[in-house]
Amino acid sequence: MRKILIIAKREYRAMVATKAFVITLVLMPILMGGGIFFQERLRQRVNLDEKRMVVLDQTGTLFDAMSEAAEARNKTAIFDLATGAQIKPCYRLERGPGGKVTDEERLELSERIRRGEIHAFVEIPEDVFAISSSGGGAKAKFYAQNMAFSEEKGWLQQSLNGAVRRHRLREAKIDPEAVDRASTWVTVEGLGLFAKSNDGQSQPAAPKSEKLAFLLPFGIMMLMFMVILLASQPMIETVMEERSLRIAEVLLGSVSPSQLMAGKLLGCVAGSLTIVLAYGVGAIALAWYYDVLHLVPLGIVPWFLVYQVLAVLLFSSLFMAVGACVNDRKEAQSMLIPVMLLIVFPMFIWFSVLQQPTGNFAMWTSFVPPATALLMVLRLTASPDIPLWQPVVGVAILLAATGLCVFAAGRIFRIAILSQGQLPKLRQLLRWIVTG
Amino acid sequence: MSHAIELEKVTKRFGSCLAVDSLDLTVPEGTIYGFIGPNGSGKTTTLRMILRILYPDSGQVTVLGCSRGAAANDHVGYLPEERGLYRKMRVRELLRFFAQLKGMRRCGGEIDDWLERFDLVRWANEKVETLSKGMAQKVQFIGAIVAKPRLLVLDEPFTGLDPVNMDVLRGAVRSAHQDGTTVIFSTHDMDMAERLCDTIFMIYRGKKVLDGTLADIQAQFGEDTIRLRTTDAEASLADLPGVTHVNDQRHYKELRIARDADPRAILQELLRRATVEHFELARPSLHDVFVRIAGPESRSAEEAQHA
Repeated sequence: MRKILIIAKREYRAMVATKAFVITLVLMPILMGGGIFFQERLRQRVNLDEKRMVVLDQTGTLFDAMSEAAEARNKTAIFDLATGAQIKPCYRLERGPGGKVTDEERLELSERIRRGEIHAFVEIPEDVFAISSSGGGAKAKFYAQNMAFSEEKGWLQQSLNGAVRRHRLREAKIDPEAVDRASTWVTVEGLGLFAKSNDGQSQPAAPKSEKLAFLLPFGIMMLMFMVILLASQPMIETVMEERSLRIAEVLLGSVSPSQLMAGKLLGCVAGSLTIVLAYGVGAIALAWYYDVLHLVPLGIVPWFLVYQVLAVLLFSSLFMAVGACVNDRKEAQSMLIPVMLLIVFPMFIWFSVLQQPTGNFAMWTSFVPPATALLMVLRLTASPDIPLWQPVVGVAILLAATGLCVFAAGRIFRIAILSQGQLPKLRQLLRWIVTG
Repeated sequence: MSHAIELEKVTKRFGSCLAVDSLDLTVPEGTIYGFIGPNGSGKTTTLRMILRILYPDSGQVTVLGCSRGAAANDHVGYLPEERGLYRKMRVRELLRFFAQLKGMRRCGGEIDDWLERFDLVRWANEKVETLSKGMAQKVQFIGAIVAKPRLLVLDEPFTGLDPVNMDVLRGAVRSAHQDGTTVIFSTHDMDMAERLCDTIFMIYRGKKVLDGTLADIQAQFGEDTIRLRTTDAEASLADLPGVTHVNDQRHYKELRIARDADPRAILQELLRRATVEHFELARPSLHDVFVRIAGPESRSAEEAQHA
């Protein structure tokens, strides 16, 4: 045991006491969080230039209502409520020629768009108020350079429909104001379930914003993902170094391959716990600073740690086996692809799991070993109603899978670490695993 | 005298390649034992089995009285053929790591002594990657010896060292030997093996072909070598009566003579051809013995025999 601890200590120091580790530790959340931050910033950075749109109103009755709607929007909806700063461009509608639209007119307007004089033009057909026998309405036509992701198209559609609806209501002798009042929107607020408090009383869940209900599980899952990557991946480098520089030969003159592997895995786990500690303390400090500490689900911490340790062991052993088989980074790349796919597999399905954390899909996928750790932690953070047996079974499955991986990787490691030459083929790897 | 190592009918295969074939070897404690043999003959495999890095397919390996597990490994120091040092570790830290792996708890004093002896004190806190090849080799040697092993296994320890460092290392090996450590070292440098080893073992194609003191080995071949220096370097020697092989050693020539050849007749014939400055009837050198066993001559003779 003492030798295992000596190797673990060296491994831990080699991982943690490097500039690269500290830099990665700092950079990883910045890069990940920065991605979200910059996306948000970019989303907010909109072009505030006035947008002129020509309305070709063949009914001759809708333009004024739409223009009024645009002016009303320009007075209120384009400003940030808190700061009063303009955050959206204002819209100006220009009345186009009435009557039937010709292709020449369409071309001329298109040219104006190309010259940057106007942003778009819309054709409102004469029969826009008609409703077909199947219940469908008429179609207006919107022309712009980017009609697929156009916010203007959405607004025009809304204001046109508002004007058309009002017209139809008046035709039906119904007061549009009364309908507007009757149609006042009711919002549905998302809340957690009630639970029994310690004194047996019914107690509501802590209030949580919908954004937070999404971000918290995602953030915790990403934390585990980062920890697995940061702690496991360096294993390839160290094993490759030990193999290529023949350090393994010196070490195996003092310890058995099992002791060497156990020490390395232990060092890796210790490194991963250091990362969790660093990020955990940072996250709690931030939560305390923003006064949302009560929202941090401290109850999942033990589950997080158990799953994280098992996942780090599982993936470190796989990385170790890869490192023991390859001669250089180029060879490592080809062997790493399947391992990396296993790590990122939960990233493909996490959103579906988060939408229904207690559903069957979420449950079964969280029992698939490479994804168990990340998905189970995601589910446990998203919903307090996951039955206890599920994380327990998850741990058992992951424990078995980790044991199997460590065993198989150990067999590959002890043979491959001393051999030189060609990259072993899959068949050879399987033979090593089976026959030892 | 007890034995540091005993190999009994040890065989090791790698796939279809028979690396070591039913090898018997006994290394008495307190000796310096030289392992020689051509590349790929099974030297390193044998050393790895002694170190329990590899296990034999059959036969028994007993090291310092232990025939099972790696119990003896704490008392065995090992310097591999290719240097095995972590590049990013600092010298002192690395040596402490190696010593601790051998079961040493307090090793600071020992490390300092060795660093001083090898003139490496100012490199103690430097990273291994900053060391020259010679310095790294000395660090590796300290790593092998710092835990005061009872058995020291050195695989090509002098490769790449300058003469000064070679002397320092040789002195350290002798000093360890005087302290009672059994030393095994494999080498391709026959002069070094002759000068340093009490006993020499040669392995060729996985089999033991030589095992004994230099004198014993030379006695097997008898006095069949003439060392010769003449004024006329171009004088023809190959056609001298009884001469079977001429080896040009630049400053002198080595003539191998047939068992029934008369050295006096050879000398008389030589004197007719050139002025002889030096004429010595000697036993073959270890180098010559090695070449006779593993050289192209022996291989072609073997092939002819098989044909």
